[in-house]
Amino acid sequence: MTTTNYTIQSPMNTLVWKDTAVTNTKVQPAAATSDVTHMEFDNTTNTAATYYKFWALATGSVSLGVTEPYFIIKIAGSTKQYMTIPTTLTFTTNLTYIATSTQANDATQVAPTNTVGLTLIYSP
Amino acid sequence: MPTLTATNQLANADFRFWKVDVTSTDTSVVYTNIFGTSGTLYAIYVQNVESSNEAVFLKMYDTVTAPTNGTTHPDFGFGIKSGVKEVFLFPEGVTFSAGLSWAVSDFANGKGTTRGDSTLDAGVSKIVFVYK
Repeated sequence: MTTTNYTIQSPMNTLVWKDTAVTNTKVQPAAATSDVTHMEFDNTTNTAATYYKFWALATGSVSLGVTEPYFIIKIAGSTKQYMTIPTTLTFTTNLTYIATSTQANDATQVAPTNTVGLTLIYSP
Repeated sequence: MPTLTATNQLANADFRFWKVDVTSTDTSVVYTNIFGTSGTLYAIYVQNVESSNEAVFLKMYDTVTAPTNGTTHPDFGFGIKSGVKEVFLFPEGVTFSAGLSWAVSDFANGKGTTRGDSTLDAGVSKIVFVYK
């Protein structure tokens, strides 16, 4: 992972989380309830599809292959995709994510051939 | 003076929507190939405000083959908390090259799969897909 987290100058205290090197290692940008309003996925580095998986849990509470993700999105190879959630998607307590080429929630979540990108706009 | 022409922009955009009302007696909800062909998904609306409801798991599959709810691994899985209305917008669209099939079930967090449960105890009163 290669991450930055910065605050947008707004009364909402909105944060932008940018990870330019997402792989199958669990990352936890927030250790509190997070209301996510925007997500951007960059899978232009791979020809194969990548699955982004999110949990509303801390990394220590996520057991790959056991704990079911709260949110899964498939991004086709060589594409970017973005999603806006006007109603906000609330990750209660924590937010953890990985990227993998494995569709199923097997114990082994294979890393994408190349790391991928993820940007989140959220409010704690 | 130039001639003004009125254009039916909605007709040109050709957006379509697909809506289902799910009642508390619908214990297993699976719909196959709702576009009837390949298509691009632009928005999803999920209303999970039924009484005695609980978190649900909306699962989508890029296939025209009927998925088995709770068994087939989804391409997309969205957890929807109880008592909320959620809107997901994809401004550039998500392509379903085969077709869009979907299912919804109880969330079953920690069950050990990405498939959710196979049944719906209660909850989810309305789901809308916008596509073309």
